[in-house]
Amino acid sequence: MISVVVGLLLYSMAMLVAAPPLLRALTSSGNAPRLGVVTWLSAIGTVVGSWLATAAMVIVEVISHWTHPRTVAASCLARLQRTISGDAGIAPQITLVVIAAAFTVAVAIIGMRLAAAVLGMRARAHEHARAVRLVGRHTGEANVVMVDAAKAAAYCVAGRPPAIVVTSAARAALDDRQLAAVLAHERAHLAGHHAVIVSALRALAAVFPRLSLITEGAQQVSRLLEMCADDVAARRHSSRALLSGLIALCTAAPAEALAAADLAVLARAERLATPPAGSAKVKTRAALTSVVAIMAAGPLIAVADCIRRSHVWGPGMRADPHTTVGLIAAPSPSKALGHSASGKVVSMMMMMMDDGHWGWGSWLLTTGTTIVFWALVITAVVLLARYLLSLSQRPTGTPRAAGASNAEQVLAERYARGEIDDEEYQRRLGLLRQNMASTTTT
Amino acid sequence: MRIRGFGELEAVIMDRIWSRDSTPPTTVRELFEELAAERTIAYTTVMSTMDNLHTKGWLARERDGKAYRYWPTLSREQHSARLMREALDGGGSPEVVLQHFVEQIGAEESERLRSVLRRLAQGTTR
Repeated sequence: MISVVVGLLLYSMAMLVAAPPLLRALTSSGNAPRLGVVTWLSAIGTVVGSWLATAAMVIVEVISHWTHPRTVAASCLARLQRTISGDAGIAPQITLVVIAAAFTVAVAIIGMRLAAAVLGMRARAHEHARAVRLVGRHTGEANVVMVDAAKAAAYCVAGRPPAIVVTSAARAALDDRQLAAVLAHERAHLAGHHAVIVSALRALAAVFPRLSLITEGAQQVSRLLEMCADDVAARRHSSRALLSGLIALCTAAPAEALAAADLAVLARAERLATPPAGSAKVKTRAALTSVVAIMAAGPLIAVADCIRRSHVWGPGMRADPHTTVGLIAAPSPSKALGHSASGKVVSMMMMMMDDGHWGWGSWLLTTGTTIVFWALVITAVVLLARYLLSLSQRPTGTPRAAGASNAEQVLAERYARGEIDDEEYQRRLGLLRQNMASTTTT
Repeated sequence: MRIRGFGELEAVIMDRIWSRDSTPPTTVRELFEELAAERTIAYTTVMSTMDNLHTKGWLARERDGKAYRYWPTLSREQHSARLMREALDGGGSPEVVLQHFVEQIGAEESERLRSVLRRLAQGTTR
C-alpha cells in the first residue's frame, strides 16, 4: 500500500508545484477557453481525487487488518509503530484506531467545510435573485429584471428561477443590439451552470487558501468562463455588437477605486476585436489535450512506477520473519514490468500486502529515484508546453500591443504619483497613441 | 396578465404596496380588491403571500381590529441600494457568486482600459 500512497502523494505534490505556471501559460491566450476550463478542473480534480484515494486506502488498510492485529506488522504504519516502540509494545489496535479516526475526521471536517461553503453561497445567490425580482422592474424578456442604479452593470445570479440584472444606467448606455448581445452572454452563463463551477472552486479555495493551484484555478476558470460566454454571445449575435457593448459598459462605469480586478476585460476585448487564428487555436487545443491526458494518466503512472521500483529494490532487503503474512506469490520485477493493465492492478494489490519486505533504506532509495524520475518528466512537459506556446503566440501581435499599453501604464503611474501634471499627461498620451497608430497602420 | 409562480405574485404585491400611498397601511382586503379587478385570484392566496412577505422581513404589520395592516419595511430605493451594494461593491464578507458582464475596476485600470478599448473600437470600425 505504501507504494500506492507514495505514488499518489508524489503526483499531487508535482501537480501543486508544476501545474499553476504551466496551465496559466497555456490558458492565458484564451484560444480555447472551454478546453482551458476542462484542463484546470481536471488538474484540481486529480489532485483532490488522489488525496481522497490516499485517505481511503489508509482507512481501508486499517480496517482490513482489524480482525488480525498481529498481521498488522505487514503494514507500513505498524512497522512505524514497531520501530518507535519496540515489537508490539502497545496494543496495535489502539494505534490503528487513532490512525483511522484521524484520517476519517480530517476527511469529514474538510468535506463539511466544503459543503457549508457551497451551500452558503448557493443560499445567498438564491436570496439575491429573489430580492432582485421583488425590487426590479420586469422586462418583457424571461428572467431579465431592471434595477434603478446610478452604476452601469449587468450580471446574472443563479436562483430558482435565476435572474439577469441590468441596471438602469447600463440600459441607458446600451443600444438594443448591444443589449441583446450582453443578455446572450449572461444567458450563456446561466445555461452552462457556470455559477456551480465557480462556487465549488471558491469553496475549495476558501478551505485550502495556500494552494496556488486551487486559488489561481478559481480565478483563471472564472476568467475563461467569461470568454466561453463571450463566444456563445458572439456566435448568436456578432462579436462587434458584443465588443461595442463591452466598451459602452466600461466607459459608462464610474471610475471608482473598487475591488482590484485584473485586466480580464482587456483580454476579452482584444479577443473579440481580433479573434484568434485557426492555427493558434489548434495548437493550444493540442497542447491542452495532451496536458489533460498526462494528468489523467499521471496518478496511474506514478503508482505503477512506485510499485515497480519497490519490486526492484524490495527483494534485496532484510525480510522480517514476523512479517510473512502478505507473502502471496510476490511477482518478480520483470513480471510487474511486462504486465497488462489488469495485471498491474493485481500486482498493485499484492504489493499492498507485500510491503513488509523492504526496509527503510530501500524505501528512501525508492523515493529518491522516484522524485528524480518525476522531476525529469515534469521538466520535459514544461519544456514541451513552452515550445508549443511559443509556436502559437508568434503570429499574433500581442507583444507590440503589450508594449504599447505598458508605456501608457508607466505614464499613468507617473501621473498618479503626481510627477507630471494634467497637460503633460495628455500631451504624452497623445504622442504615444499617435506613435502607436502609425506603427500599427504601417 | 397571468401570474407565473409564487415569486411573481410576491413581486406584484410588493410593487402595488410600494406604489401606493402608504398612509394608512394596507389591508389584505384592499389589495385583494385591487388585484381581483384585473385577474382571477383567491383572497387566501393574497393573504398567505403577504403573510409570507412579512415573515421574510419585506412587510411590517400591525393588528387593526380583526385584520392586519401592512406596510413596507424599506422603500424600493433602499432595497435597490442594498442589493446593488451587495452586487457591485466587491461583495461584503460573505460574497454572492455573480457573473458580471464587466467586473468593477479601479480608476487607473479603468483609464488604461478605456484607451485600449477606444483603439480597438477604431480598429473594428475601420
